Amino acid sequence: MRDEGTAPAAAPATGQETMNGERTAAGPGRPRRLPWRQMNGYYFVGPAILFFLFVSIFPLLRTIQMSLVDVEAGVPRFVGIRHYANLVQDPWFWNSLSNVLTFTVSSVILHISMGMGLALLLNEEWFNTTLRNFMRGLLILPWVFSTASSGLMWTLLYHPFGLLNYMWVGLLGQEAPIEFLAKPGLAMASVVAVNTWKSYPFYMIIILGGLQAIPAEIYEAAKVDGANAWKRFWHVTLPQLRPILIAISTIDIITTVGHVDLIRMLTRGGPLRSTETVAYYIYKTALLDGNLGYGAAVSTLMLIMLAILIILYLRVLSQGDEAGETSF
Amino acid sequence: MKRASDFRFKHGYLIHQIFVVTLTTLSAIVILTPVVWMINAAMRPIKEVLTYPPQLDPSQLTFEYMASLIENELYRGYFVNSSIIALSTLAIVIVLGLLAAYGFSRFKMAGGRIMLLGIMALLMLPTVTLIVPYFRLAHLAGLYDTRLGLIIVNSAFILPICIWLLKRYMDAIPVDLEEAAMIDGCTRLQALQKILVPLAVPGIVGTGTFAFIFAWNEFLLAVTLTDTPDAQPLTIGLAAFFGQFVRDWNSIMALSTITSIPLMIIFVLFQRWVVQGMTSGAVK
Amino acid sequence: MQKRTRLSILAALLTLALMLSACAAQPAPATGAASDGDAMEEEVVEITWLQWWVNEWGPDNHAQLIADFEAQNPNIKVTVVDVPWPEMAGKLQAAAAGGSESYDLFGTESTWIAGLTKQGFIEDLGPWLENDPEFAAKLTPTTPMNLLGETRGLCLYLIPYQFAYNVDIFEEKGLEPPTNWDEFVAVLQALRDEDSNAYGMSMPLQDGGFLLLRYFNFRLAQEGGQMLDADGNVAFNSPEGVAAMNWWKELYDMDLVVPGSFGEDQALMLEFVASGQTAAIIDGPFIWTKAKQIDPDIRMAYAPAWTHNTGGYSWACSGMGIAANSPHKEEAWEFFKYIYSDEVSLKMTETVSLLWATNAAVDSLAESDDPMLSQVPAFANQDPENNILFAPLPEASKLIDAFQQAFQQVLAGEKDAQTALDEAAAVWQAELDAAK
Repeated sequence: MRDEGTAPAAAPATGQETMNGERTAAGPGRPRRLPWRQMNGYYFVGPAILFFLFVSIFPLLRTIQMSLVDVEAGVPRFVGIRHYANLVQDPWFWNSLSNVLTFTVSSVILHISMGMGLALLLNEEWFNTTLRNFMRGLLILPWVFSTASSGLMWTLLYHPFGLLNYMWVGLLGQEAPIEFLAKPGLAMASVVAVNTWKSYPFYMIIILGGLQAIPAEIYEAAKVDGANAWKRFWHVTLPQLRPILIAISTIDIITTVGHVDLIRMLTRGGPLRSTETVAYYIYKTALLDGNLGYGAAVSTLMLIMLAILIILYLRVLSQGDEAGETSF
Repeated sequence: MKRASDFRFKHGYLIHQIFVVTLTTLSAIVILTPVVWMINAAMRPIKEVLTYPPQLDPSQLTFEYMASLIENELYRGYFVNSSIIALSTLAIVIVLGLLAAYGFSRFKMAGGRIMLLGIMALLMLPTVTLIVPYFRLAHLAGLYDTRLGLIIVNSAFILPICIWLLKRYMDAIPVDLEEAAMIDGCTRLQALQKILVPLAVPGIVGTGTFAFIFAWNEFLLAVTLTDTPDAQPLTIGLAAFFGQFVRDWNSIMALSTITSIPLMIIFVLFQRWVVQGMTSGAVK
Repeated sequence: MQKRTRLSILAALLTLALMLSACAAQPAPATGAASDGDAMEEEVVEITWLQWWVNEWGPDNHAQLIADFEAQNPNIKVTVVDVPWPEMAGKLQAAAAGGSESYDLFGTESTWIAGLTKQGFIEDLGPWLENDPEFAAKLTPTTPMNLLGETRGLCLYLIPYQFAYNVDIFEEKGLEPPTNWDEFVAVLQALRDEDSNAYGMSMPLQDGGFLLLRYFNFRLAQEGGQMLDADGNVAFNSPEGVAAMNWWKELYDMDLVVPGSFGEDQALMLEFVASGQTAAIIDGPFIWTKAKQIDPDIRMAYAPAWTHNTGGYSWACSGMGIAANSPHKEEAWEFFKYIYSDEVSLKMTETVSLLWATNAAVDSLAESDDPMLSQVPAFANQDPENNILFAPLPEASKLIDAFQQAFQQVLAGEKDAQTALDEAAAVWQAELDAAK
């Protein structure tokens, strides 16, 4: 907050150059201006960075430190990279890694396609705007119910005594109930379904916001050119939404990878550890079994892998983007 | 597909309307069934929900479970705590996030890219990795079992996403407008306040909603960093109904139903903002 | 103008939130200071008890226990920290690793003891018991939770596992409670009703808990086998072990237990018993008071003890430990003495059906009308005919995971019993050797 007060004093004269933002303005012609502009930026960024230093970086360093230590009868012992060496040979770690890959990829695809589909419907012109707004309100309901209670309700819905199997066996007359959470492959699909159901509204809303920002004239022009609905979606809507889609898919990947609550409620990693994701594995190893050093090692490794993955993901996606600054 | 304003083909418009409305309604029915089931379980003895097939006699419905929660002082306290924690988290991340996003979006700084990269990395921390260090730090800082402690750690997890999202929104807003304002004599902060923030409202609302819901639903940090109802949010109150052997389904579902109402209201309010901000047309 | 309005609303909202958060920070230090002040004046020692029992024992009941203790010990104040059971292990681990002195004594499951011992968080109670023979004499032989020869906790209540059934459903169907394993299968067959989708019981195999290990162990012991031999080596991959595993596999294949039990947890199992969807359960008497929360009219009863090649019950316990870094161990021990006292034991056994792990409580059951409860003294006193003991294991959850894997693979038909058990046994033996 203090920085706010000092920033304006330095601001006025810098007009044009700073507005151009990036390196163009930092030409060699005006070396005298440079420190001022840099200072300005730090004033704005400073509070957040300080906050991170104390509240995120410090504990993170501690986690990394923990990953190099083993505790025996309360006495910490430096073990170097032994946890990491064990980790590489731990089949359950690799199992959790492949599970989280399936979980994340399918969740993200479903979140965004479902969010997109419903956002497109809600973005249409409706004969009654109130009805549309009402629908929009209803469709975010899964998101506002707590994860714990939704998870609990879904365990019942999926159960052989639950609603879904009542429809399957009782109404459709099928012979055996579907064991949604009890068959390895199916359990993963069931968890992904709940995760999709629970989180799509956020993406739907963001996409809807993006759709409404697309100027109608672009569509009119496309129509005049004779583009059909599909072509307009492909050549107008998608490119216009591209920045938003990149942003939300990145956030989605990150939040889905770190997800523990739903899996804890629905399957606890079972059956046969087929839904045990890395985050759940960390939770189980560190918090349930008390192998904190090992858990910290999994955390650190996961963080590194995720960071690399996201950077690659954004690099690939931002290619051909005229701004070129999509990623950072 | 877009804006079926082509009234020359009236029946085409009609078919289009039927298609859109029916498809939306069908999706809503499928999506809302579990929600209806949850509300149902909040309003009838749970034995009737757990039997097969479930009993649906409407005369059995009761508001007793919700009423007893609303009357419960402990749960009112949880509700107040949740509101304070979520709103304060929201305030912190929006203020810090806007400033930082502005800094990253409009300035070139030595080390700026590195800082952004670092923030990207922080964005990837799952809560579960930092639980144990936080427990220790909270004790050392005297923030254990306080709302302030939860506000701070919640902010730490949401702020990276906020900065990143807000920066993206700001990057999309042309600098010309600010430039013009500053030539007209606005200070930089005034330009930020009068030009950029209003234009970024959709982004702020979207980000803010995300931050609020995250803080409102956060559980793992809350259960680790608090001991007493003085500081605990609703998620802890909800977890108290999950016993080792049996769970109080009625209270769980009743509590979720009650607490989803303020979220809905906030959301509907914000949604209007998003639409307004978007349709003001200033972005493009 | 509109923009300005929006902006000012936003600003107002943020200001409000910041103000609220500023208020939020205040109460906590204030109350802290107040209690410190009290402590100074009256020289009251405050001990903090971390546990998950407030709702399980009933809030009033629980509060009364504390009030009675504080009345008897005016110099000790007990602060209760109640954590839901599913979060308890995580909370203990965080406290242990965080080096916190905030908890003086805590509830624990035997599965958590190994991890807590590793963190150096849990006091060796052996010396305490030696110095207090009068107290030690109140405890049953099965009460101490021993890990590698050291007493790391005391069982607070015993949970025997035996076939319990819904009396009304049995009467309606004209069924008698089973007295052996064959009758057990026959009863399940009679209870299976395809029209109402009713089953006799379910086998919740989901969580890394003890349940399926207990089921297996129950049959294993009655086949004449054991989990670990006298030297502490793995023994469950014996012919008896294979026979026990195959028995459960056959039962699972007969469509007599709820399909999809792999995905069901212990709580859901009990909830279906309580709602009458399944008619029986293999679990402890404490369960009944829980079932009454869902159906106040439910009547449950135990089948008499079963025998196959041998007899005996499988059982488990939840217990208490003292934090090794607690500055108030003496006071915590006073609380132990109170909570294991004859008075509390009898009260808890009677009111909430928790079989307190003390001689007073156990002996009071000898005269019970219930065919199962009357056997409790025998197994609590480690009568080898009656007692299927399960001691705390090092790396317990890793072992349970390995075993669960084997059990599920056999039931799913992926592996035969011998192969699966051998694989699990290899994991167990490696961990047991490492622990020695």
